[in-house]
Amino acid sequence: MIDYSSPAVRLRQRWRQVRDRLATLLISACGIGVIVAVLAIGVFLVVAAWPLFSSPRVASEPATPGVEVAYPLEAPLPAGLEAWRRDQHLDALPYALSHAQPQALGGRLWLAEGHRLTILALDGEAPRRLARLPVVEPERRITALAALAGGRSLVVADDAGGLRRWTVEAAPPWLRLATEYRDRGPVIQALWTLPESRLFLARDAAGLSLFESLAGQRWRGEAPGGEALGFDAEGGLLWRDAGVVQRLAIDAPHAEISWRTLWLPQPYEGHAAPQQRWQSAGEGSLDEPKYGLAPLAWGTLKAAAYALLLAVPLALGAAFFSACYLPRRLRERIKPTLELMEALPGVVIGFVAGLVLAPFVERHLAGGLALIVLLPLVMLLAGGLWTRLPAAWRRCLPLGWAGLWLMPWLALWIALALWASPWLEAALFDGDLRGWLEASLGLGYDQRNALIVGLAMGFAVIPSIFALAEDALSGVPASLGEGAQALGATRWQTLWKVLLPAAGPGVFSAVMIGAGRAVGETMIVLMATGNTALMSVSPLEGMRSFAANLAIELPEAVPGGTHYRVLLFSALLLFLFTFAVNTLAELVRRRLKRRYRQLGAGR
Amino acid sequence: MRRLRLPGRAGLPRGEGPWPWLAAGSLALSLLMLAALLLLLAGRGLGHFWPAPVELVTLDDGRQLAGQPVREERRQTLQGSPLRERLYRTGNRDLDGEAWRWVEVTSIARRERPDDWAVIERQRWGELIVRPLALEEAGRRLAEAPLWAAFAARLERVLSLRAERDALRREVIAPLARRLAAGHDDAEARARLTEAQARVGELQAAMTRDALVVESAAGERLTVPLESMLAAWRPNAMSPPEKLAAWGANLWHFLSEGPRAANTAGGVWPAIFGTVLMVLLMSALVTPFGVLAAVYLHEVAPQGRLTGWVRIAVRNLAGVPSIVYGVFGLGVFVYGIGGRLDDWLFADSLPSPTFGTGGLLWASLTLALLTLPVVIVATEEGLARIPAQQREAALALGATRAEMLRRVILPMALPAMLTGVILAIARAAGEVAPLMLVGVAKLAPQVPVDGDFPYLHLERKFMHLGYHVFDVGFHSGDVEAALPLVYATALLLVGVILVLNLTAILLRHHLRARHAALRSR
Amino acid sequence: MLLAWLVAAPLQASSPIAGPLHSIGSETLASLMLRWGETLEARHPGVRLQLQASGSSTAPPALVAGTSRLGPMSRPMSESERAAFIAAHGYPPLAVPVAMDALAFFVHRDNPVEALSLAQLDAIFSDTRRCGGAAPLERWDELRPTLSGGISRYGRNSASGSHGVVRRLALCGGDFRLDVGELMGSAAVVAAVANDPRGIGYAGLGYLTPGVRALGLVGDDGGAVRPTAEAALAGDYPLSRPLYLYLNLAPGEPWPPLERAFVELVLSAEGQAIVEELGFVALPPGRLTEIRRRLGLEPGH
Repeated sequence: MIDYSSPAVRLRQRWRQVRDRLATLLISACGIGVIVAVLAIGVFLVVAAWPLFSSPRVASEPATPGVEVAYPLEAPLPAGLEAWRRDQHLDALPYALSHAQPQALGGRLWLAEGHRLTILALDGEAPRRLARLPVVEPERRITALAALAGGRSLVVADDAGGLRRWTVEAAPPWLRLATEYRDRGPVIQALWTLPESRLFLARDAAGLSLFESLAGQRWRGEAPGGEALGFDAEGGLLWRDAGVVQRLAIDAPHAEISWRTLWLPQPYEGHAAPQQRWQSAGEGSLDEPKYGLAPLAWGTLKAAAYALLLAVPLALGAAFFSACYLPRRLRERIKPTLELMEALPGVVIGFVAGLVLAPFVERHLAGGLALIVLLPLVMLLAGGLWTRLPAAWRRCLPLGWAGLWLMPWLALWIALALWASPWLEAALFDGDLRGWLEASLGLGYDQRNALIVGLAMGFAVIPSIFALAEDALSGVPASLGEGAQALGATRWQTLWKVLLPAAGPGVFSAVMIGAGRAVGETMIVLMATGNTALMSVSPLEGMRSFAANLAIELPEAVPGGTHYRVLLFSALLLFLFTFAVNTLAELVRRRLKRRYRQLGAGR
Repeated sequence: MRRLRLPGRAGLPRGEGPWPWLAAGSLALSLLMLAALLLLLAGRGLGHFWPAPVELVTLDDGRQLAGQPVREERRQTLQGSPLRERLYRTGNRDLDGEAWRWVEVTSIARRERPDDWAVIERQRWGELIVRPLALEEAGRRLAEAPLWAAFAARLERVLSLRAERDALRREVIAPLARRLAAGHDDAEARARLTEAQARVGELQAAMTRDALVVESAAGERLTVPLESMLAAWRPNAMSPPEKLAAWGANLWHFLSEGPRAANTAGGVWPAIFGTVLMVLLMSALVTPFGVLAAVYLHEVAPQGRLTGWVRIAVRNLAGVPSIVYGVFGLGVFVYGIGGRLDDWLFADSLPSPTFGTGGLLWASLTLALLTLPVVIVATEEGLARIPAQQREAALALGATRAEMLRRVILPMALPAMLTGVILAIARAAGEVAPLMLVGVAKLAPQVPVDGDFPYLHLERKFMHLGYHVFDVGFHSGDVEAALPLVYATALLLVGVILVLNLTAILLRHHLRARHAALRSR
Repeated sequence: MLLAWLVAAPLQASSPIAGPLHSIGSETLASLMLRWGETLEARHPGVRLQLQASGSSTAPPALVAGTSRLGPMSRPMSESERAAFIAAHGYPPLAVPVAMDALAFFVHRDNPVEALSLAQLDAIFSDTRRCGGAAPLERWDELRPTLSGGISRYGRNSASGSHGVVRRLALCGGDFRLDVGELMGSAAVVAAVANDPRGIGYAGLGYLTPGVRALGLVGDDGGAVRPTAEAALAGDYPLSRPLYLYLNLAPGEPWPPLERAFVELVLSAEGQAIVEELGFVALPPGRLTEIRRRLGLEPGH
């Protein structure tokens, strides 16, 4: 008999309770910690991408004594030119000067005269007039003119308050209207471009505005009184007001990013029409960085769509077959095999797709395309032949095992099609299918195209769709299927009329999960495409996906810079998209599970 | 009324229509694709180690070349005429300027496989494919016969000298040098270092004694010092068992050696080691935390709506693209925590980074985060399968919750946890995209474990099989030479992952059987 | 006995050379760095080279952030990159030219086109055509009537120096067409062209394989210059570029022994022999002596 009130036992009990409480505490702390850490990914991405969308900060502060103007507001004309301008009585007119990109454009001087711009080439001894072009309506007058960094954009302000950006070309038509920031408003008296950036300040009677060449007005505030001196070395604007020098600190590190510049076609320099483009600047910061996310989003979805185009029919077909026809023993072997397929690393699939499959498909394009039509026909042919076989043969090749013994049959036909490919191409397309596609359908052919990605990534997502769809189908309470079959339905009818309606949401969620995986797959897209940021539907052209783009560009991006943050923002999009897709799929699956439980309980 | 068809007597379904055949076909096609991929990897990867025959090819115009046929290609030229070409690995890059030749098959007049042609692997300039003529010792022509046997014996001597030299360098000189460089100056170590280096010098001198005079297919003669050779064989004179032995030896070299010649030759040992070590570290991190989180979610947390949402969120994180985890790892671990750590702890070695750059620790942490959802989900599933009676019985007998968890629940959930961990390992071993951001290196021949304190170097970069596939396939100077290695590496990676997955599947099978037994009781 | 002497060389150093050597940067230089690293390790067994190579533009951020001390680059640093470095460390990075590379345009070995002008390349690769390409070139038959088929274009990712050099010199700073493939490595470009009879792509001359042919460049005078070592050294080939090794070394700071050993190896005859072996263009001995003197490494060994 144990004495439960003895001090030793009581101590022991107390100790056990303390331990229990400690353990609970530890588990809770660790558990919550882990879950928070895992969920922190989303938070981190939001925090890192947030500054992109914060508005610029412009603040006036007393200047440090002795600070000097590093960049004057107006580039002074070379001495000879100044004299020339005075001779021509043009000294009161606004002008802009470009020595940038001399090999392409030559130095240029743009002079505003009334509503027109005179373009002068500075390559000879005396300035040579190239053209005189109207840039504002005839009744208006140009009030201010500035060339943006890089020398390929001119900003023109007029006396009705209009403000427009023109891009500069090396040959006629010389100028092309890119952006109309506004048509009317307060009249701008002066335009100052910020050194080494694509920002400029516009000063009117009412105040000061900060513009970005693509994104438009980013800030507006009161102009300090007095006289502007120029920019200091850090890009702050120095003012003198009543003898005191003030500094206007302009902090707009990501001014070029707005929802519009990320997602809509933009009038980039050197291109005739607004374009959707992703071309990060690379070397040299004066180049206009082109952060159009639309081509990347398009590429991501296109790759996923082509992958699903292959994977959904194959995976669902396999799942249907496995759920309805496969004998149990075989199913227990085949399911793990396809699960092994899921574990194949993307880098291996991508390598095979990029370096082996892509050239192979190109050489056997005709045969490959023929296979798309041929394979279903051959499967049906096998069925047709099978029904005509003598019963003894049929017993050797039961339908339940067709998934296996069809393999050599299909392999035979695939080999046949590939072998006949050159012959097919010669007979039908004059021996040059690629040329034929280009000539008659206008389809360009990239060797590393959506077809290849579809094949490779489709291969990679088949197992996940298969496994989930199969689970959903075989999870349907057996009573339902058995009932249908007892009433005389064939197995296919049972599947179509009973199992699928019951398991439909589960099958749908399987496809969603597959889509999520296809959207995020990195290495396959990276290695099997040319990473061209195109927006085309053609299966024979390439694409660039968010994930591949991250792998390519993140190592080169300077932490904290615009490029880095835009990339992190794209990672956030990827995160949100896959998270949403998966959540939807998960919710559907949960509801289905409950339904099965009810159905099963009703037995 | 629709007419119903009855199933046939022999259990053969009748009247199923065409659809089942399409379904069966898609299953067959999926399996076929899997088989084709595995066969391709196995064939190309393993075939690379087989000693290929050397062909002496005489062209129409009388020119000769010797090489190992690699593959053939048929295609249409841009002018529209058909063409059939064969690629020969001709070696001798220092003589001809290139190590490969495309030969139009129709221009070949004669092909022979003479026995006396040899393939010699060198430390630099790749392979030589030549006919040995004579041996020289210290510049003096030797008249030993048979030539090949004498050469093989002398090459064996050079190889053993080199092995001794490399061992000295690796095991004696390197640790001493590192210790002295780190500032532990003592006379004894210095003396030992001097001694070892003198011995290395002797070995080096002994290795340069012999040379082989050879002739190329173009008729050029040259004298090749044996010191520059790594291996030599005469594939045409080898019998099948000899070839098999050579195949095994090549395979072993591939598995046990480090890469050479800018990753286009040699083996993948550091990559194997790096992959395994990273995965081990990752599992050491992910197992306790994953299990604790799962226990919290399933056993401790109040089972309300919030927990439900958290559970869904955690489950969904398994579907978030791995590259996003890589971005997180780069931004938070490398730039954030790593940079901070360097400022605090390793300020004296700045600007050389210690933890502020990608490395083993950050890679393992990132992958641990990536695989946490897998472990949590698997463990929770295991916990959910344990009948509530087990818990109730334990509590009824007076156990506290901690005791119940430790003595009853966790042991029962062990197989589920193991499954989760193994699935996590399989996923982590194949992930490359996040590693590209947080610490994998193109070349880091010294593995991150060595005899220097603290023995395990978490800050070092490491090589990884998956990244090696990407890197060698896309970045190496000589693509043709690198491709077979890529196949072999890919095969190895797939093999490792398949084994891990199979283990997980078997475990799960075992687990399900056990629970089925529990339920039926 | 040169080799014996080389092995004995470290004996003269006051303290043995050992430790990790991080390098992040150019992919073009990766194979060179690998081989130099291998050689250095053979010479000084305690050295550990750790190499990451995904493009020249990865070098400056790594040097600025201090994630590496060696930054191989296949182009000179741009002004803004230099400015960022100076802002972070207070002194400019040290640039060491280590080899020359001729950037070549490759076509498939079947392709009979021998040479193209820069304007034609601009018309093939650019859609802003700032270098004077009049109309875009879309098909090979626009260049040679006997050929057929559209042009497939292959290039490098924007982080690479090759991308930057082609953009600056052949495109006059204009934009690449969007359908120029961005592949992750020079070898991948060459492999893609070797597998695509209609392909054209650019990479360092060192990546030449028998599957492709390097195009000559037609100059203003109509004569074609082939990308060869001589033409690159003489400056006749317009797309030749020096390859650099950037170092984070404060002025006046003594050379750290590891970095010093590495740079000495690179600038030695043996290091330059590796350059040649890998298909790049070695620097002439006179130039090497001059560089060594400028760096404060004794001329000669």
